[in-house]
Amino acid sequence: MAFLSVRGLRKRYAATPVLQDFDLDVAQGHIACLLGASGCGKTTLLRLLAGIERADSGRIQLAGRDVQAQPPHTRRIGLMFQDHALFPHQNVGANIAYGLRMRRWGRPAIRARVTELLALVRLTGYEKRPVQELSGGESQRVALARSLAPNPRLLLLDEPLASLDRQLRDELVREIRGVLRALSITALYVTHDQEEAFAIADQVALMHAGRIIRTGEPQALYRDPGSVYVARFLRMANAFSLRQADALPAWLRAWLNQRAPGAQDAFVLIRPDALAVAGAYPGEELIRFQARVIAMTFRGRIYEAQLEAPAADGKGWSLTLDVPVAETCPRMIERWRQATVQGGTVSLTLRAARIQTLRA
Amino acid sequence: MAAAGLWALPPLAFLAAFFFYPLARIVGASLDLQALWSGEAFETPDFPYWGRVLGFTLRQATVSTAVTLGVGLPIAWWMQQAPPAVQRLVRNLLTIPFVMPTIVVAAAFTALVGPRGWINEWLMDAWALSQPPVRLLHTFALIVMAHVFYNVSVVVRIVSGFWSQLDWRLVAAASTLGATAWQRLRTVELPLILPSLLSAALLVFLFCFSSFGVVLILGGLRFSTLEVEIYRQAVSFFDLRTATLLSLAQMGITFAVMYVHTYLQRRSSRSLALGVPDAAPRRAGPSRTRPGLTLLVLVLTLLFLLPLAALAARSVSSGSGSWTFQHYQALFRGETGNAFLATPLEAIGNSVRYGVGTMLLSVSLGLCMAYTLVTAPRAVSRWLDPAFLLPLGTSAVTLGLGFILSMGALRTSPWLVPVAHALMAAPFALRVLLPALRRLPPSLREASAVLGASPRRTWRHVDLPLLLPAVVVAGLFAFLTSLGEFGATLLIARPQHPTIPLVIHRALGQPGLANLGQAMAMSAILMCVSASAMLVLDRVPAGLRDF
Repeated sequence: MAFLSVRGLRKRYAATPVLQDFDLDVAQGHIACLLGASGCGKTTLLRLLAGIERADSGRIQLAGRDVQAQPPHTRRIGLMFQDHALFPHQNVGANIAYGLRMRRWGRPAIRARVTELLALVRLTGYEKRPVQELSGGESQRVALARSLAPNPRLLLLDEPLASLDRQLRDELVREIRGVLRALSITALYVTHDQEEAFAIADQVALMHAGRIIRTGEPQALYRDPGSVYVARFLRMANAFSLRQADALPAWLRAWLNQRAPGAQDAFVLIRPDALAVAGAYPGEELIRFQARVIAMTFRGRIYEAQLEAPAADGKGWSLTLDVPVAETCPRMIERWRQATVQGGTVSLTLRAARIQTLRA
Repeated sequence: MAAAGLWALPPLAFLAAFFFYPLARIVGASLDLQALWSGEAFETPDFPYWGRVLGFTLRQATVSTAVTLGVGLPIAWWMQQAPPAVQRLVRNLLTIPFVMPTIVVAAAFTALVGPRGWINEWLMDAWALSQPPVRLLHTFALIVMAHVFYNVSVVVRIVSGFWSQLDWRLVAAASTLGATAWQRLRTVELPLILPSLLSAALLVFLFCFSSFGVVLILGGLRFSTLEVEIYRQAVSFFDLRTATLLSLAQMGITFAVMYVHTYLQRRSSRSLALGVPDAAPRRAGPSRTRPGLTLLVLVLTLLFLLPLAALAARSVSSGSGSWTFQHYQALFRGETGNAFLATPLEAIGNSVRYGVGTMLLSVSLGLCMAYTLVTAPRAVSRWLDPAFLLPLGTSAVTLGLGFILSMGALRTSPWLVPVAHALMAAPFALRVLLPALRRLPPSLREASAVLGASPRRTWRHVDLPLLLPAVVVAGLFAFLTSLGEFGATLLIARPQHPTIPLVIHRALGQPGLANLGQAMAMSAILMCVSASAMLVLDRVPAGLRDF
């Protein structure tokens, strides 16, 4: 059985169900990431696991034993808070030592452990600093060190980087993953940021409306979203319902018919990287069609091309594709950009392998 | 929640035993249930007597309020445009009288304008007079002066605070529309600050209405407010029935005025919310005030503090024009004189003991109340919050009377004094502790729990240290309240265990220069303790000074 095993967990606040029949497994030493929009119940789950709140029903097992009857201070589950929750009346060293003092460690042992953890989070010599003087990144690292100090069996991290800016976040994600890996600690990381989740996790669980709708390795999840909700959450914009076949262009309908979609398929997804820009794709099926270029938005490594082609019902059908700047012929990009001003159609090629079907 | 129930138990039991039960006894005694049962004829009230007492109480309160506004408003107007440093200085100087115990104010005015006061002595010296020319003691004018002295800071603080929050762009708009400074004041600023003006006026009225010590000591036998009359009826004539009826009238009027005040405050805070929250400071750039005006206000403020200066001076004057510390030495030698049942030193000891008792009681009660309000469901806390503040609306003398009526065998216990003081101080403690507790982020407690601390240890290591500043402020405040409290103590304290204010009161009423000198010395000590405590409280971060 998995190290952390959650079965049928339910929690409601007043009339609002927050978690419904929630199941989750995390293997020992793995970093799992719970990914979901705000308000989907992620933080509530962490509070139930840590024991700050009680579930209405369901089971939480850690190393094979149910922990629900235990108060938070005996569970040995660490929690890193979104606002870091450093004790303002204690300095950095005392904050990190807090959990050790509560477990009645000896003074020399505490001192050694604090030094060790400060080195681990690269804040050696910070013991005496007041926590008010720390920068955002520093206080985040102190919070990490504090939650790791008493050797928790499971570490929960509640959007620990939410208050930091993008660049610092990328840096700290790498660092946190490094620390967690080095200690081979079992961790559950909660975030609403897909990039952060992909960067940190061995296993991603996508959460929606109080339950998990998809789990898997980040690569597998990205390669095959499976359902339209996951695809949209991963910011893949081109998902089209098969039920309104008239709203699709004729060539796409023909291609779909020839592939004979399964009974469960409800959507067709054209991945943003489906555009064929290289000269040749040996052995690949390619689809050519004409479209108008509505807008070309420069995003650095790519242009985001917004295209429109006529659908079977005579209305417009729009599609957004990435045009990688490095791999694409500059003349083609120039032509497409001019087409946004001058009108007229361009012809383009899609790689059929990057077109998938999705469940609802 | 179970936790809320546990926290609520001590304060509710305390209030039930020492507030609601005594109050019920007052109501019961005033109704005279026995007479009703036996069918005896109901006594017709003595209308001229009631008219006299009620009429005087309302008249002195109205006149005092009007004069206080007359003095306070110009200062408030000057304040909101003065340089910040001077503003702060004047505001603090004006607040000194407000934090003085009643007995100190009474002693200070006696020291300034009493028959053997500073002014009379100086005039008699200068013009070789045989009689003191200024005869203000026991006059209506002196009562009003003392009330103004006390309450000007209320008007200045409330009105100037509100004034400086005004959206300055409204005033700027008026001036671009052609309004002169005077027109802007009359048509824009005054209408907008009106709620704060009314609020300040009602508060001052309330203070003057329930004024006890000032009227009792400075007014003499000629004047009595409801408060003084309750005391006289209960203690001098032992007519408890009249006393309880007066108490009911007192409470009724107080609660009516408080209700209007709360109502107005709610309305004015709503109208403030309509203003622009991020409005720039009212006046950017250099201050407009003329230095001459600033100087004038400073001089007037210092003149205003003259009674306190006179008190300090009298406490070190021998009566023949030379300086001396003999009064202080007499205090600490423990000379009883003929005025005291206990030595001054014993009185100081009593006051400190009562003060410490009050401090411990009010801080514990305040903490319990604050935790109750934080943990209880909103529907409950909405009712408990005002219930915890109720003792504030009941006058000190009424509380004392309630204790006399209800405490039975406990009546002689010295513990009754700190209990009465705690009733008055605990609501303030609550007002200091509650915001501090609300500001404490719940995540800190949760962090402590997941790091392995039991609830008790979390309280000890997280809650307590973070609440400590507020606890210190609340404790200090409670100690000061107890130290200066006069009305309730006068009714409750045993003659053998007087407090400092009681001893001063006795000494002021006794003939003999030595008595007066010792009264002045003790008052001066009390004055210094109160003033320095105010300075300490002023150093406390602004968020904690919500009262």
